[in-house]
Amino acid sequence: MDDAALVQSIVEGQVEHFRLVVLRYERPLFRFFARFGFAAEAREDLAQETFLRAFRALPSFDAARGSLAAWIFTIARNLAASERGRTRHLREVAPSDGAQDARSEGDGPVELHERAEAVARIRRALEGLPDALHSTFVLAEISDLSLKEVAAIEGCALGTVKSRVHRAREQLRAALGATEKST
Amino acid sequence: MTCTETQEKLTRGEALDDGERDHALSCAECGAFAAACATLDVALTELEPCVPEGFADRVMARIEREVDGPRGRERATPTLWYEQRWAGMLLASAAALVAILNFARFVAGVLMPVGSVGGAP
Repeated sequence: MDDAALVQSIVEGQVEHFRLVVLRYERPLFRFFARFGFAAEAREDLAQETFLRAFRALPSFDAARGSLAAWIFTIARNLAASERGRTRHLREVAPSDGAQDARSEGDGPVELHERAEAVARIRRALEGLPDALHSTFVLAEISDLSLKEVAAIEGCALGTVKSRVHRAREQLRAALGATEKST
Repeated sequence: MTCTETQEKLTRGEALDDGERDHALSCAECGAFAAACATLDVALTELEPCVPEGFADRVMARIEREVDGPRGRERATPTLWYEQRWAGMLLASAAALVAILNFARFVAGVLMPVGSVGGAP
Protein backbone atom coordinates (compact mmCIF):
# COMPACT_ATOMS: atom_id res chain seq x y z
CA MET A 1 0.00 0.00 0.00
CA ASP A 2 1.53 3.34 -1.00
CA ASP A 3 1.56 6.37 1.29
CA ALA A 4 -1.40 8.15 -0.29
CA ALA A 5 -3.63 5.05 -0.15
CA LEU A 6 -2.52 4.34 3.40
CA VAL A 7 -3.35 7.86 4.55
CA GLN A 8 -6.69 7.76 2.74
CA SER A 9 -7.68 4.54 4.52
CA ILE A 10 -6.75 5.99 7.93
CA VAL A 11 -8.64 9.20 7.32
CA GLU A 12 -11.67 7.15 6.27
CA GLY A 13 -11.67 5.44 9.65
CA GLN A 14 -9.24 2.54 9.46
CA VAL A 15 -7.32 3.84 12.48
CA GLU A 16 -5.48 0.53 12.94
CA HIS A 17 -3.73 1.16 9.59
CA PHE A 18 -1.80 3.93 11.32
CA ARG A 19 0.27 1.14 12.89
CA LEU A 20 1.81 0.64 9.42
CA VAL A 21 2.89 4.29 9.43
CA VAL A 22 4.42 3.84 12.89
CA LEU A 23 6.26 0.67 11.89
CA ARG A 24 7.48 2.26 8.65
CA TYR A 25 8.90 5.39 10.27
CA GLU A 26 9.73 4.48 13.89
CA ARG A 27 13.31 3.47 13.16
CA PRO A 28 14.28 6.51 11.05
CA LEU A 29 12.58 8.74 13.63
CA PHE A 30 14.53 7.27 16.54
CA ARG A 31 17.72 7.61 14.49
CA PHE A 32 16.77 11.21 13.74
CA PHE A 33 16.21 12.12 17.39
CA ALA A 34 19.34 10.24 18.47
CA ARG A 35 21.41 12.26 16.03
CA PHE A 36 19.86 15.39 17.44
CA GLY A 37 21.44 14.35 20.74
CA PHE A 38 18.31 13.40 22.67
CA ALA A 39 18.64 10.75 25.36
CA ALA A 40 16.68 7.50 25.16
CA GLU A 41 13.67 8.62 27.24
CA ALA A 42 13.31 11.90 25.38
CA ARG A 43 13.55 10.06 22.05
CA GLU A 44 10.56 7.90 22.93
CA ASP A 45 8.53 10.92 24.07
CA LEU A 46 9.40 12.91 20.95
CA ALA A 47 8.74 10.00 18.60
CA GLN A 48 5.35 9.36 20.24
CA GLU A 49 4.47 13.04 20.03
CA THR A 50 5.49 13.14 16.35
CA PHE A 51 3.19 10.24 15.50
CA LEU A 52 0.36 11.70 17.57
CA ARG A 53 0.63 15.08 15.84
CA ALA A 54 0.89 13.35 12.48
CA PHE A 55 -2.28 11.39 13.23
CA ARG A 56 -4.19 14.51 14.25
CA ALA A 57 -3.10 16.40 11.15
CA LEU A 58 -3.42 13.46 8.75
CA PRO A 59 -6.52 14.84 6.96
CA SER A 60 -4.41 17.82 5.87
CA PHE A 61 -1.70 15.63 4.31
CA ASP A 62 -1.53 16.12 0.55
CA ALA A 63 0.49 13.48 -1.30
CA ALA A 64 0.73 15.77 -4.32
CA ARG A 65 2.76 18.28 -2.31
CA GLY A 66 5.35 15.85 -0.93
CA SER A 67 6.00 12.42 0.50
CA LEU A 68 4.66 11.17 3.81
CA ALA A 69 8.27 10.77 4.98
CA ALA A 70 9.04 14.44 4.35
CA TRP A 71 5.77 15.45 6.03
CA ILE A 72 6.48 13.36 9.15
CA PHE A 73 10.06 14.59 9.36
CA THR A 74 8.86 18.18 9.10
CA ILE A 75 6.80 17.55 12.24
CA ALA A 76 9.75 15.79 13.88
CA ARG A 77 12.15 18.57 12.96
CA ASN A 78 9.86 21.26 14.39
CA LEU A 79 9.47 19.26 17.58
CA ALA A 80 13.21 18.65 17.85
CA ALA A 81 13.99 22.31 17.23
CA SER A 82 11.59 23.56 19.90
CA GLU A 83 12.69 20.90 22.36
CA ARG A 84 16.35 21.60 21.62
CA GLY A 85 15.82 25.28 22.35
CA ARG A 86 13.71 24.65 25.44
CA THR A 87 15.77 22.02 27.19
CA ARG A 88 19.35 22.41 26.11
CA HIS A 89 20.54 21.35 29.54
CA LEU A 90 18.55 18.11 29.38
CA ARG A 91 20.19 17.04 26.16
CA GLU A 92 23.46 16.32 27.84
CA VAL A 93 24.22 12.68 27.34
CA ALA A 94 23.86 10.48 30.36
CA PRO A 95 27.02 8.43 30.91
CA SER A 96 25.18 5.16 30.32
CA ASP A 97 23.30 6.36 27.27
CA GLY A 98 26.08 5.97 24.75
CA ALA A 99 26.97 2.55 26.04
CA GLN A 100 23.36 1.47 25.75
CA ASP A 101 23.11 2.69 22.18
CA ALA A 102 26.35 1.09 21.13
CA ARG A 103 25.81 -2.23 22.87
CA SER A 104 25.76 -5.35 20.79
CA GLU A 105 25.98 -9.04 21.54
CA GLY A 106 29.39 -10.44 22.34
CA ASP A 107 30.94 -7.15 23.38
CA GLY A 108 33.32 -7.23 26.32
CA PRO A 109 33.82 -4.37 28.78
CA VAL A 110 36.68 -2.87 26.76
CA GLU A 111 34.73 -2.92 23.50
CA LEU A 112 31.69 -1.47 25.26
CA HIS A 113 33.77 1.32 26.72
CA GLU A 114 35.39 2.09 23.36
CA ARG A 115 32.02 2.12 21.62
CA ALA A 116 30.53 4.34 24.30
CA GLU A 117 33.48 6.69 23.89
CA ALA A 118 33.00 6.78 20.12
CA VAL A 119 29.28 7.49 20.51
CA ALA A 120 29.90 10.23 23.06
CA ARG A 121 32.59 11.74 20.80
CA ILE A 122 30.36 11.85 17.73
CA ARG A 123 27.50 13.23 19.83
CA ARG A 124 29.70 16.01 21.17
CA ALA A 125 30.85 16.77 17.64
CA LEU A 126 27.22 16.90 16.43
CA GLU A 127 26.28 19.11 19.37
CA GLY A 128 29.05 21.48 18.38
CA LEU A 129 27.55 22.10 14.95
CA PRO A 130 25.58 25.31 14.39
CA ASP A 131 21.80 24.70 14.43
CA ALA A 132 21.24 25.08 10.67
CA LEU A 133 24.09 22.70 9.79
CA HIS A 134 23.06 20.26 12.48
CA SER A 135 19.43 20.07 11.39
CA THR A 136 20.20 19.78 7.66
CA PHE A 137 22.92 17.20 8.21
CA VAL A 138 20.75 15.04 10.45
CA LEU A 139 17.86 15.14 7.98
CA ALA A 140 20.17 14.35 5.06
CA GLU A 141 21.60 11.38 6.93
CA ILE A 142 18.12 9.85 7.24
CA SER A 143 18.03 7.44 4.34
CA ASP A 144 14.31 7.82 3.67
CA LEU A 145 14.72 11.42 2.58
CA SER A 146 16.16 12.78 -0.64
CA LEU A 147 18.20 16.00 -0.53
CA LYS A 148 15.31 17.65 -2.39
CA GLU A 149 12.95 16.65 0.41
CA VAL A 150 15.42 17.94 2.99
CA ALA A 151 15.48 21.26 1.13
CA ALA A 152 11.66 21.39 1.29
CA ILE A 153 11.66 20.67 5.03
CA GLU A 154 14.39 23.20 5.76
CA GLY A 155 12.84 25.77 3.45
CA CYS A 156 16.04 26.38 1.52
CA ALA A 157 17.53 25.66 -1.91
CA LEU A 158 18.94 22.26 -2.88
CA GLY A 159 22.38 23.85 -3.28
CA THR A 160 22.20 25.16 0.30
CA VAL A 161 21.43 21.67 1.57
CA LYS A 162 24.42 20.23 -0.30
CA SER A 163 26.67 22.96 0.97
CA ARG A 164 25.45 22.54 4.58
CA VAL A 165 25.93 18.77 4.46
CA HIS A 166 29.40 19.32 3.03
CA ARG A 167 30.34 21.81 5.75
CA ALA A 168 28.82 19.69 8.51
CA ARG A 169 30.73 16.59 7.42
CA GLU A 170 33.94 18.61 7.21
CA GLN A 171 33.44 20.03 10.70
CA LEU A 172 32.57 16.62 12.12
CA ARG A 173 35.54 14.98 10.46
CA ALA A 174 37.81 17.72 11.76
CA ALA A 175 36.31 17.46 15.27
CA LEU A 176 36.69 13.69 15.35
CA GLY A 177 40.22 13.85 13.93
CA ALA A 178 41.24 16.45 16.52
CA THR A 179 39.77 14.38 19.34
CA GLU A 180 41.45 11.21 18.16
CA LYS A 181 44.82 12.97 17.91
CA SER A 182 44.45 14.49 21.34
CA THR A 183 43.59 11.16 23.01
CA MET B 1 38.57 14.67 -12.23
CA THR B 2 40.48 16.52 -9.54
CA CYS B 3 41.30 15.76 -5.91
CA THR B 4 38.88 18.54 -4.90
CA GLU B 5 36.00 17.03 -6.88
CA THR B 6 36.64 13.58 -5.45
CA GLN B 7 36.93 14.88 -1.91
CA GLU B 8 33.78 16.98 -2.27
CA LYS B 9 31.89 13.91 -3.40
CA LEU B 10 33.29 11.92 -0.49
CA THR B 11 32.34 14.70 1.90
CA ARG B 12 28.77 14.72 0.61
CA GLY B 13 28.68 10.96 1.15
CA GLU B 14 27.98 10.29 -2.53
CA ALA B 15 29.13 7.08 -4.22
CA LEU B 16 32.24 7.40 -6.39
CA ASP B 17 32.15 6.23 -9.99
CA ASP B 18 34.82 3.84 -11.31
CA GLY B 19 37.23 6.59 -12.38
CA GLU B 20 36.95 8.43 -9.09
CA ARG B 21 37.40 5.22 -7.14
CA ASP B 22 40.59 4.42 -9.09
CA HIS B 23 41.81 7.95 -8.38
CA ALA B 24 41.04 7.68 -4.64
CA LEU B 25 42.95 4.40 -4.51
CA SER B 26 46.00 5.74 -6.31
CA CYS B 27 46.16 9.24 -4.73
CA ALA B 28 47.57 9.23 -1.18
CA GLU B 29 45.77 12.42 -0.19
CA CYS B 30 42.36 11.29 -1.49
CA GLY B 31 42.94 7.82 -0.01
CA ALA B 32 43.53 9.33 3.45
CA PHE B 33 40.52 11.59 2.97
CA ALA B 34 38.31 8.61 2.02
CA ALA B 35 39.52 6.74 5.12
CA ALA B 36 38.66 9.73 7.32
CA CYS B 37 35.19 9.94 5.76
CA ALA B 38 34.69 6.21 6.31
CA THR B 39 35.70 6.66 9.97
CA LEU B 40 33.05 9.36 10.31
CA ASP B 41 30.45 7.09 8.68
CA VAL B 42 31.33 4.26 11.07
CA ALA B 43 31.11 6.65 14.03
CA LEU B 44 27.69 7.79 12.84
CA THR B 45 26.42 4.24 12.57
CA GLU B 46 27.31 3.85 16.25
CA LEU B 47 24.48 6.29 16.87
CA GLU B 48 21.88 3.79 15.69
CA PRO B 49 19.42 3.56 18.55
CA CYS B 50 17.13 0.59 19.12
CA VAL B 51 13.41 1.16 18.92
CA PRO B 52 12.12 0.28 22.41
CA GLU B 53 10.03 -2.87 22.58
CA GLY B 54 6.29 -2.21 22.35
CA PHE B 55 6.75 1.32 21.00
CA ALA B 56 4.17 0.90 18.22
CA ASP B 57 1.67 -0.54 20.74
CA ARG B 58 2.12 2.46 23.02
CA VAL B 59 1.59 4.90 20.15
CA MET B 60 -1.52 3.04 18.99
CA ALA B 61 -2.88 2.96 22.56
CA ARG B 62 -2.53 6.76 22.80
CA ILE B 63 -4.19 7.18 19.42
CA GLU B 64 -7.07 4.87 20.33
CA ARG B 65 -7.54 6.77 23.60
CA GLU B 66 -7.64 9.99 21.61
CA VAL B 67 -10.14 8.60 19.08
CA ASP B 68 -12.37 7.11 21.79
CA GLY B 69 -11.80 9.93 24.26
CA PRO B 70 -14.50 12.48 23.45
CA ARG B 71 -17.16 9.78 23.01
CA GLY B 72 -16.07 8.15 26.25
CA ARG B 73 -16.26 11.46 28.10
CA GLU B 74 -19.72 12.11 26.68
CA ARG B 75 -20.93 8.84 28.11
CA ALA B 76 -19.19 9.25 31.43
CA THR B 77 -20.17 12.86 32.27
CA PRO B 78 -23.91 13.68 32.35
CA THR B 79 -24.63 17.06 30.77
CA LEU B 80 -25.41 19.77 33.35
CA TRP B 81 -28.91 21.35 33.24
CA TYR B 82 -27.64 24.76 32.15
CA GLU B 83 -25.76 23.16 29.26
CA GLN B 84 -29.01 21.79 27.82
CA ARG B 85 -30.43 23.57 24.77
CA TRP B 86 -33.82 24.26 26.38
CA ALA B 87 -32.18 25.93 29.39
CA GLY B 88 -30.22 28.25 27.12
CA MET B 89 -33.37 29.19 25.21
CA LEU B 90 -35.27 29.78 28.42
CA LEU B 91 -32.55 32.02 29.89
CA ALA B 92 -32.26 33.99 26.63
CA SER B 93 -36.04 34.49 26.50
CA ALA B 94 -36.14 35.63 30.12
CA ALA B 95 -33.34 38.10 29.50
CA ALA B 96 -35.13 39.45 26.42
CA LEU B 97 -38.38 39.85 28.38
CA VAL B 98 -36.64 41.75 31.17
CA ALA B 99 -34.98 44.03 28.59
CA ILE B 100 -38.32 44.74 26.86
CA LEU B 101 -40.04 45.51 30.19
CA ASN B 102 -37.25 47.86 31.24
CA PHE B 103 -37.40 49.65 27.90
CA ALA B 104 -41.16 50.01 28.14
CA ARG B 105 -40.87 51.40 31.67
CA PHE B 106 -38.28 53.91 30.52
CA VAL B 107 -40.39 55.05 27.55
CA ALA B 108 -43.46 55.34 29.75
CA GLY B 109 -41.52 57.40 32.30
CA VAL B 110 -40.33 59.86 29.62
CA LEU B 111 -43.50 60.27 27.56
CA MET B 112 -46.17 60.20 30.22
CA PRO B 113 -46.28 63.28 32.47
CA VAL B 114 -46.04 62.65 36.11
CA GLY B 115 -49.57 62.77 37.46
CA SER B 116 -50.23 65.74 39.66
CA VAL B 117 -53.21 66.33 41.82
CA GLY B 118 -54.66 69.83 42.12
CA GLY B 119 -51.62 71.52 40.63
CA ALA B 120 -49.54 70.67 43.61
CA PRO B 121 -45.90 70.77 42.75
